[in-house]
Amino acid sequence: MTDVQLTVNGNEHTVAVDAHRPLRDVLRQELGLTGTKESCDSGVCGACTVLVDGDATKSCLVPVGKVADTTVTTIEGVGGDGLSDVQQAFVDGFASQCGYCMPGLVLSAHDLLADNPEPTVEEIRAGISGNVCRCTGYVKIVDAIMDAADARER
Amino acid sequence: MGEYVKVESVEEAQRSLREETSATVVAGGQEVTLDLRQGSIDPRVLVDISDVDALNEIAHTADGLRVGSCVTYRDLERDKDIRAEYPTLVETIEGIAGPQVRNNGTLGGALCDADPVFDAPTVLLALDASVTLSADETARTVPLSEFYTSEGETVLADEELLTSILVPTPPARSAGAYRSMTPRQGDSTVAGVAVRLVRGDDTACRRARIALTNGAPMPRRVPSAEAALAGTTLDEEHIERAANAIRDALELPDDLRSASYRETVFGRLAGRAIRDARDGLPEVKP
Repeated sequence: MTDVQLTVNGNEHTVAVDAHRPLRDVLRQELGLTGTKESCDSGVCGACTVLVDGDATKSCLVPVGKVADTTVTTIEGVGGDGLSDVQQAFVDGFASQCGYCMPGLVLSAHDLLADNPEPTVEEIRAGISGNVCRCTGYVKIVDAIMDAADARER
Repeated sequence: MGEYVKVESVEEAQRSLREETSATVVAGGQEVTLDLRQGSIDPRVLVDISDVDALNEIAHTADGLRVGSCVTYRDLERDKDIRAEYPTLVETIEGIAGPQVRNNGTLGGALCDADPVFDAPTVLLALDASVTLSADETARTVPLSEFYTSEGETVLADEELLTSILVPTPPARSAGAYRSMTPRQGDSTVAGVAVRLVRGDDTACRRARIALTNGAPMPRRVPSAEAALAGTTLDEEHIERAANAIRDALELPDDLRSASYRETVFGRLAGRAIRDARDGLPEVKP
């Protein structure tokens, strides 16, 4: 076991783990942050997306040792004590069906909007191309991200 | 039970690799994490080189663009100068996986992984890129076309690190293109063809570079197809000859898709990529 220092959602943790374990497993199993989802386990679906120093990252694709001394944000922390503007736009726009992909999509959208505050529909589609939603067909998800961008503009 | 070491200099990385018999180098971690999970590697120590400043530098030099091996795909996408000078490379990178993987995945990692389905090495081969490999006190530069030796294997020695990639300044009157097929955005590339053409003083194609994604067990150029275009007017007959040379050069292992299907796909992609590159060449003044 190695002691790994993590900053997750503003809280500092020291966890004694195998430093080669994927970040996702440490978030879910050691820190109880189960909002980060496990699905394909092979870096394809994006359900495990978190922000590492603000960059959307598939948490199944990084050994936990890699994120020592970085700032990790999960779905539990992205809105502080409430909902983030993107989360609220997803709620208002009925962008979710089963909801399993939502945490990853919300965090990918945050990374996209931080880089590109006025995205086109095409840019939104590219920005969430690393996230799979099996239910919705993406239309309302894209609309919700556009709504969140528009709301930031105002 | 594994250890994780983040090194701060190339020397420190080399010391770790020298002292530790069971070590794997990590840059973005996007492939290494999967390899760990699948059990294809099981090192005692992961040596993470991604925080080394020298490996994160992008420099425009007299020889061309020098990219540190830990520069991420996303860093390259964001660089306006690189986009202007190497549009085919940046457009190809934008099609790789999804944003999360491009935020972390590095050019050096993609090259060292030696996976024939990766797109960036193919485009870099067509651009005549070379790589700098550093051991303790020495460094050597190897053309990318000589970097791969066989399936999954490179000339990289155990104690060596790939520290940077040099992409030569494109010659005047040159143009490139990359055409590939993936079932869906983010899927592995089934077939890809990168082309780079240099126009001569007349209408002839002075030089051609052609490289393939997933056409062989390792990224590779196709000299016979390059020769089929050099000195020609890039007319349809010679394009067809080059496409045939590519089909003849394929080394396709058994796969989900039949070899004959993929041969057809490579032939079509080759024609499109060559025509795209040709159409990007400047007109020759009469």
